[in-house]
Amino acid sequence: MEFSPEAMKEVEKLLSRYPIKEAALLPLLHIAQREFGHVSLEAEAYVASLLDLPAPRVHGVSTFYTMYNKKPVGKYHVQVCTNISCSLMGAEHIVKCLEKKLGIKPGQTTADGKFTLSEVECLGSCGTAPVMQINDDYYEDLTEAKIDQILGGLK
Amino acid sequence: MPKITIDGIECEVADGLNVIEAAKTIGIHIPHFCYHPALSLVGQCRMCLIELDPIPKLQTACSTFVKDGMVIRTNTEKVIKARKAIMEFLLINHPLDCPECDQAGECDLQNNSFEFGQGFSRFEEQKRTYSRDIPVGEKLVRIQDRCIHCTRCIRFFREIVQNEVMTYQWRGNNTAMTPLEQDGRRLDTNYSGNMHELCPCGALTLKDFRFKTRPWNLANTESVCPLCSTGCNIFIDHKQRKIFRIRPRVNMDVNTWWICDFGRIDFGYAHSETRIAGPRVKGADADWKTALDTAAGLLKTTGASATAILCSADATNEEALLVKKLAAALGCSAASLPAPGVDPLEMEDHLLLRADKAANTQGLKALGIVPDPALADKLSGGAIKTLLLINPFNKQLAAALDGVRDAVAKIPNLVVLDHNETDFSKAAAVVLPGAVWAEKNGTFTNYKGLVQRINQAFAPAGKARGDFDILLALAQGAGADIACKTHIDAYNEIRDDLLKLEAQIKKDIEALQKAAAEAEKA
Ligand code: SF4
Ligand code: SF4
Ligand code: FES
Ligand code: FES
Repeated sequence: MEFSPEAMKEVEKLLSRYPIKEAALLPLLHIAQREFGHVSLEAEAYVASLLDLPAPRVHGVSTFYTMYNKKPVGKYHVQVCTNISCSLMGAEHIVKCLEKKLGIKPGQTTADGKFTLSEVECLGSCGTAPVMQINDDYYEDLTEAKIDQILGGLK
Repeated sequence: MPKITIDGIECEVADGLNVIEAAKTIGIHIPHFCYHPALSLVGQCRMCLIELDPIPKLQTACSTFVKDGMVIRTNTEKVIKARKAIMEFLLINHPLDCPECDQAGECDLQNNSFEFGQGFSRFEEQKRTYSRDIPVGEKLVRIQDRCIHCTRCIRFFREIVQNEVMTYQWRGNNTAMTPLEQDGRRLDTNYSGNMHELCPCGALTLKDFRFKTRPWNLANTESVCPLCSTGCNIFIDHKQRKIFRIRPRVNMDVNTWWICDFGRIDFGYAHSETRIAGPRVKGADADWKTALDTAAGLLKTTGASATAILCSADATNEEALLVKKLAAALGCSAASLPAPGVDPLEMEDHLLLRADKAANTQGLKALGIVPDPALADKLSGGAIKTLLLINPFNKQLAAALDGVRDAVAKIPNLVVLDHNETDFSKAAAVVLPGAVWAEKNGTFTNYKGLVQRINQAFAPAGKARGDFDILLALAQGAGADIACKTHIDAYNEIRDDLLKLEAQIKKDIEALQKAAAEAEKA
């Protein structure tokens, strides 16, 4: 398990930014997630070795943050906000629609490995609730029809 | 020295103390969980809240350091209420299974909850639970439900053992202490057992002690660990002449708060099946008088040059004095054997454990019983016809005897004084059953020259007798006129020699440290 040469360049740049290596832990975990798809125990140990940290300490940090995926996720990670504003605007219904269309429950991945469905906390876009995030993109003011269209556009 | 006022009491305390320690000096107890004097400060449990003038909000006593003129209050309405709230909060997920918890009776959580809690909880929801009884290495068992997230375990492994094997996993309500054997880390360190005392509740229990007895049923005898030359201060916790556990006893000059796991767990030989049941002469059971008379007679038969006393360094100073007197009466030598690779100033691990695995090497040295390299040759060459062999069960002496095992077993007048059977006791003409350290009174001198007292927890098992009494009888049988009839008399006789050695070693160590510091500078 190793980072790509481009990722290693990024790591070097990050390390030069901080007085101690440990400070670069969070961004390195993000890189690990991007490079390996999710943050496994092996990925944690690898990041630990890059930063001269004990692997258990890295594990403590990576499990603290829910945005590091501890399990493999599908090609598209569908994250629906179910915090208060979105819930008031019908997030529960959105989740139900997604469950029906994808045939999975939150926390699960479709058999073809294409979609993973998650419920998440406030995405900081309450003004356009209900909201979901697929990989790095936001989808706002969701309705059932919109969901059909969005999912249909994902290859 | 800052002058401060705690609960209306004016006092002067040492610089650099936190409020918990400062209050302790005038007998005021501030309850706490996450704070431990050996570990870094995290201010995490909030149990130590106090009022500090003129700050309107409560402050954590553990992370507040004394300053001149501070006015601290630990018993106000506000503090009492806060403690109740913290206790209620800490107990939200705690199973309160004290009746089946090993920690009950010596549990900070139980004690603080009794003293400072409110006695009821408003929490009606489901408690979060984990699977129970997960082993943490070979020595500990984890019951995560009971954990109050003080992180002492994490900090202990990180800062004291310097092997970071514990971490917290997940967050908030789901936070769980998690041991992780990654990148070659091993959970079984030499010091894991210390979690038995360090965990403020019953979340980390000692496998060896679980469900054996309740702590309040145990008598606690102050003693010193015999398993290496550090001489950690311990409590022997025992009941009905049986040791149930060994615990560290704080001594800032020796072991601070800890002991190693060998010292904690390796006491089985005190109660083993191989304890020597009674005195024997030529393989047959004998009474004490016959055995002692026969032994004393044998020791005189072959003349001084063919006679020797070989002694392990587990003898107390007082026993060593009698060994010297016996040797003088017989005109023979008393020595130990050089143990391979023992340097009295070299550490074996970074914390406590030392290479010299005998309790009293320095004490024997002070009394002139030193390793004799020529003795091994004499033993293997058959020059020794009469040998009093004391405690060949000791690991270090056993290792030193390895090369001459057969020759020693063939010595015609072999008298063995020991607590457990060995090849030597099986071959001996006379066997005298002695005591283990827990059955003895006396002193050990540790590697730093510190003379430390061991106290008898219970009488020697079965027909065994204290080594001091046996040696006294042998010396008297050999015709010596001995004035010291008790270990206290003996101590008084050698006190000056022991203290001289202590001062000498202290000087040596200081010189070494100075040299090392200078070398580092240069
Ligand atoms: S297991 Fe014990 S020492 Fe460790 S965090 Fe929990 S309560 Fe504290
Ligand atoms: S370090 Fe030595 S003296 Fe201390 S407990 Fe371990 S064996 Fe005993
Ligand atoms: S509650 Fe959904 S974005 Fe804020
Ligand atoms: S002891 Fe002060 S916060 Fe825990």
